[in-house]
Amino acid sequence: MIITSEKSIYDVLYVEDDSIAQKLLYDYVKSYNYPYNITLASSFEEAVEKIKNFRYDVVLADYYLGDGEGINLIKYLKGVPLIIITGAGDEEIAINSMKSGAYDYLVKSPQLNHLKKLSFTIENAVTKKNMDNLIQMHSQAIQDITDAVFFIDTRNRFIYVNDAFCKMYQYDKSEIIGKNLGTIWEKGGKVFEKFYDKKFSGDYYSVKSDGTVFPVSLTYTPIIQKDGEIIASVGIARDITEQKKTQLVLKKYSEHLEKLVEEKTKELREKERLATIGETATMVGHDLRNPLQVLINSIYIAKSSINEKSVGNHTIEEVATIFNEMMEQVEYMNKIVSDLQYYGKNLKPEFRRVDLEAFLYKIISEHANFDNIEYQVIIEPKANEIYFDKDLMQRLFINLFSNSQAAMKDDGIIKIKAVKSRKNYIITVSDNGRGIPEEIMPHLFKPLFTTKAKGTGLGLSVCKRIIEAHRGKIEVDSIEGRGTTVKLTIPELIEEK
Amino acid sequence: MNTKKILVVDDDLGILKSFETILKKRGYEVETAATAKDGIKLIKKTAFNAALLDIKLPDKDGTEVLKEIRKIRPGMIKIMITGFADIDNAVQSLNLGANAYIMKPVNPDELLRLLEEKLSEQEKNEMLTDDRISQWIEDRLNQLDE
Repeated sequence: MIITSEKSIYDVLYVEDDSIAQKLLYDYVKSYNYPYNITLASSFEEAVEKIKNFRYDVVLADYYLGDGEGINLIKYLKGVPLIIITGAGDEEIAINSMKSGAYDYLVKSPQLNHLKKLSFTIENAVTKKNMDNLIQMHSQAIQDITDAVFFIDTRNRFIYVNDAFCKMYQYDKSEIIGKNLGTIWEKGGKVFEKFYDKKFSGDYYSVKSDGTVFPVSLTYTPIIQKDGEIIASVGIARDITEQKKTQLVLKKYSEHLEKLVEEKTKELREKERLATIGETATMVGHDLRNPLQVLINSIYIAKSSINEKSVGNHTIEEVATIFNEMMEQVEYMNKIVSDLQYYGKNLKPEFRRVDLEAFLYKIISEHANFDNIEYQVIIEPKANEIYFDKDLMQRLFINLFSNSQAAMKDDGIIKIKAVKSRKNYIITVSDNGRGIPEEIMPHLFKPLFTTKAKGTGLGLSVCKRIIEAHRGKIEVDSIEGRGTTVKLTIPELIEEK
Repeated sequence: MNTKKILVVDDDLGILKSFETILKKRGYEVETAATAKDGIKLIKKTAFNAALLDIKLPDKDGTEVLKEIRKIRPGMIKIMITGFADIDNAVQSLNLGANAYIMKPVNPDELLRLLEEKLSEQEKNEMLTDDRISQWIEDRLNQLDE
């Protein structure tokens, strides 16, 4: 198929049974040096033979041939342009030939005017043929392309849609032709109104015949004639539903990743910080333990020394009181050390079966030696047998009790309740102390945060770490002036470790 | 009953002095050492009934000291005292033959109770050993008689 007119020499078949006419044309072409390679056929039959064997660029045929009519060659030509030559006064024949598919015609004249028109007519026929081919190719391409292609006239009506369009939008061609462009766009395509004479592209939401909305990537181009007049516009739409889905998934995934990185970074920073605190704590803890031991030993020695005699002006009881006070200080120092170390240590609970009531009473008797505070322990029988790390939980309760004690002046009551609900043990420690101011609540579990003059700010942090090491949780509820309740939730341990 | 001999090894002189006083008040014979080297030297020289050993000593790790003194005096009671809780260290110490592992600060009453308990066990074991020797001698004599 010849698709360009760039070819410099045309192969022309000239079918003419009159030898004089043959010679006239042949000589004419020669004398004007036209770039035609002319092959002669003197009969219809010969012409058919030649057409079968060679593809000419154009065929010139006399209408009246001895063995047939030139126009009938058309069925052998397979698209090669045919120019019919008729005698003067046969214009009607010429016009009928055109209707039958001839590209053009020439009317013989005695002045040989038809030869003067020859070059122009051949050029025209070839160009027209090439254009036809081009249009056919374009149409074919547009028809077969998988993107939806549509043409819109200047009044925004569909004048052409391809197969892909019909498939994508679920319209028959006949249904959509003549409809307004807004038919296939969300909100009637208002967004395009200001664009109608401009080339634009972007992602928009299209509407199928059944109302389904889906995203497309659209390219819209006005077809502008040389004089600047817009004759139509062409739109190419590609369904990007899958692409959008993938983008969404990717976006979600990347957001998730970002969040993860953020969390991990935070975790890492927290870990670094904890490591530092841990190191400090271990060091401080170790360093403090020796003087503590010495203090304890000294108190012990002194106590046993004054068992029989009074010292100076003090009575034995007074001295004993001082020693008790010293002992309290020692215990306080001991608590700081313990908090620091429990905070710094990597907690690995050793789960053991515990009689909760006995466990709590032991802690109360050993560590809660304030006469003005009453302890009430109420344990549901089901909740009494519990599995946890005794050392860690003892530290937790000591911290909670000491917080409660510190929050009460006198006549305080600390209630400890334990119940079992489904797979959890719920232990609450409530006091009727002064409560926690609301603005303090968010900071309760922050390490090193304290409102006490002599606090490390680690007590509740330690409790949180301990309970979390048991896969449980700790919640604090407080009403200022009324008291505080700490709720511990410890999941049931199925296997004894 | 003869007086029990106790050795205290700790690099803190305050600890040494106060434990020495407490133990002496309770009627024990006490010697002290501030380094592992001195402690081992004393153990070689004297048959102590028990030793209180600090895990962290300036010249040697407590567990190393344990290994050495176990060879010298397997029957001696070895009580490890440490400034920080460390389960691994505790297990290691007990595996190396320590009789107890306690954390500073320890209540002197508790320490004394523990010490007494361990010493009476030791005494019982020794008596058993004595019994066995007596039995053996008796058996041998019987054999000679026959």
